[in-house]
Amino acid sequence: MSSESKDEVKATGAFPVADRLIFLIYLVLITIPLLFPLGLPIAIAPATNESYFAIEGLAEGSVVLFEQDNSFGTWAELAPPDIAMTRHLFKMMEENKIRLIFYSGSVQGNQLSQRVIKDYVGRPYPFNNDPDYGKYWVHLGWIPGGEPILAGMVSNMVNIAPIDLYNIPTESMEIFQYISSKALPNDIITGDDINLFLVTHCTSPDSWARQWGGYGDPQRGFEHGNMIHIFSAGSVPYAMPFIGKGQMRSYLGGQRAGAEYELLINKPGLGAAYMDAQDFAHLFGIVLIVGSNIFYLYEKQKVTKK
Amino acid sequence: MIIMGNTMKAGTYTDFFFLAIALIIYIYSIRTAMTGRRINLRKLATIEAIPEAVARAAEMGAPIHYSTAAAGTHTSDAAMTIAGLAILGEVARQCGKFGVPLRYSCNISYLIPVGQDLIKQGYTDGGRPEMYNDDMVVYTTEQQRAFMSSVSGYLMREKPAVNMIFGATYWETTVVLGAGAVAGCMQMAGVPRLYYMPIAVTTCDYTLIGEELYAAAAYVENVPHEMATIQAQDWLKAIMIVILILGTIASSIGSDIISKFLGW
Amino acid sequence: MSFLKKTEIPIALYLFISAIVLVEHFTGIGSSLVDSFNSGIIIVWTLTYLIGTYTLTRHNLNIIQRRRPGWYYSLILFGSAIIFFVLGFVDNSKYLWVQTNVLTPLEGAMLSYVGMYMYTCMFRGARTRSLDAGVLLLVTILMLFYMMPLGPAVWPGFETIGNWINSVPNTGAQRAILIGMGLGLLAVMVRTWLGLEKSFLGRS
Repeated sequence: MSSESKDEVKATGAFPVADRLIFLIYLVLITIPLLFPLGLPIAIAPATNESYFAIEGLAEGSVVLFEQDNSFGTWAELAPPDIAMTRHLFKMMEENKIRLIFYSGSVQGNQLSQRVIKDYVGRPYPFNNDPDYGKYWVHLGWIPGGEPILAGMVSNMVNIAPIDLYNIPTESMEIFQYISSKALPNDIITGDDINLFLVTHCTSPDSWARQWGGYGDPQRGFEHGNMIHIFSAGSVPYAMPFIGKGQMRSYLGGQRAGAEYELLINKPGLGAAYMDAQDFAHLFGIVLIVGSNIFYLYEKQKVTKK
Repeated sequence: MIIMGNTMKAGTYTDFFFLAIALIIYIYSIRTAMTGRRINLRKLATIEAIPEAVARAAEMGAPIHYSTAAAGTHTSDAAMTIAGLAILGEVARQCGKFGVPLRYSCNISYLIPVGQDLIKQGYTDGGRPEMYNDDMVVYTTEQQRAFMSSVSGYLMREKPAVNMIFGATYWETTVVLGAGAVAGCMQMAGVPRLYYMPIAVTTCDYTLIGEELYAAAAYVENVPHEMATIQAQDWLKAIMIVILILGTIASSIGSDIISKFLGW
Repeated sequence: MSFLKKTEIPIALYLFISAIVLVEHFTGIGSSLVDSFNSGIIIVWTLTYLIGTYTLTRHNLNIIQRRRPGWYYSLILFGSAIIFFVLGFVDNSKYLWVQTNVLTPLEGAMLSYVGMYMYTCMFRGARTRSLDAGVLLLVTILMLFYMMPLGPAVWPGFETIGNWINSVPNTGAQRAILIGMGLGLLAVMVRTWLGLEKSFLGRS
């Protein structure tokens, strides 16, 4: 920050005028398209397409493990792709009888995961009232522990999650009996028995890449990666090394990916509603950069002329 | 102990080989450093500026704010957080020397006693043990957003002379440094993650970028094993660069020998 | 009980557990023991929340008792925590209402500061002072066009350029950071095994 701005801040005790103007213009620019949608076009990114076809291509009886670690703060950013993908999964569950295992590694994620399934997908609540619960899908609730839990889920899932959200022993549930009957060489459910790993989070993906990335790593003989992450657009650069290596199959990066996914499943929702405002916000950023440089070069020229 | 042959899991031979090489290099480097071998690290302007920053705070009669970002030592960010804690010890020592109050904002519960111990020791080493009190460590709960709001509120209200953030920086860095810039603090940051460098460079007076954070921790502690670790890391990176170059050449000529070796 | 304060005990425990996990990783021997460690972590993790709650309570009670500046905020903190906690047991619908209509917007507002400060950073810091800075700004503008929904729809070239920047220079840099992080973690492990790393025990 320049010394003039610092003096201004110290004198007024508040943000400099220029900053306040920027915030005001920004707020006006994003409010207008939210109130008066323009319907600007949305291009579908290759990553979103790949994620969509990964779910569409799940064979009958496939098993999906979905860790939903959203948070209240990132709800606006991650809810659109999370909701769209969860809706798609439940649709595939009804059509192709895929099995879904949900859980969360955080308190907030657990609450929001249930909110998504209850309010947006529309499953009966409490979930154990759902006739498909326990047979085709299960929610294991909050399992704290960080990365050791990720390791435990793929080495012996029932050991890490002996009960579900409603204290029902997982070993007695039909879904777990189905998965363990297919598990080789013994009945222990490991990462080899999971066909697709999905994660929603607001951090960097390396923990999951370390623990779950091997299941699907092309260097270990798999056709393609078996993991799809849902994270904010800002975390996409973190994921690129794992995409390049094949440990991660694809990703959904933030609101824009959520909007694209909603278009693919033909259920426009929160994501699509925010896109016009996103366009304006990005354009404003570009204008700020260009404008500040024009101003800077003009001032520099004035000084040089003096 | 039989660890080769069919006792090892498939695909882990190379991992084990590299782990063994790394352990040998680390242990050799640490052992030789502790027998007196001198290791020189280049000067880091940020660390050299810490006494100047603390002196500035003493002149202004304002406190110093320190944080190790919203991360702990139980994740892959452990090395970054530990480096931040090492620098906290040095900052506390300088605060003890100049008689400046320090506030450490901490959002991991098990780091509270660690922070209290480090700051207490720092003030004692600086010559002012009576200045220390347990409330210098403020717990902002495990939530990153609570940490952001607590720190930015403190910075805007109390306007400390210096705002420092060294550790596993993540999103909260933007808010902490932005609030510090608005509050008019002198700012110093250590950002090992590439992504937060722009905000650190534009809002801070002194910045540690990338691996400099680990080197800075070794620099402040000035103990042989820490310096030896930095040197060993440089040797290992040199080995990796050699493998990288060999792998690039091999792939370019159509050979998969290096990639097969790495996947063995 | 003073033997519990000795540094050798946590270091020995660290060495024991990390050695077992490493052996299991490479050979598969001891997988049931490692499974026990993994499930035991759940208990340890939960206990840290108790420590956090105790510390928060003690810190804020201290502020209230001594009537430190802003002590009323500590009262508000306790009040809201207790109300939210009780609601969770007594009335689930009100609990969810508070979560959806109070917590979520508050946390979202805090996170929106990130965007706000980024804009001021763009305005103040994004100056073409040199050729490198100019190239950086050009890449920033291209990436902004790539990331906005309209950009690739208007010109598909933004998608191609953005994907290349993400996949090539960015991936190289991120891999270097990952390698550095990994080596740093290895260093911490070796120093802890040798009993040289004590900062996590609170000793500088």
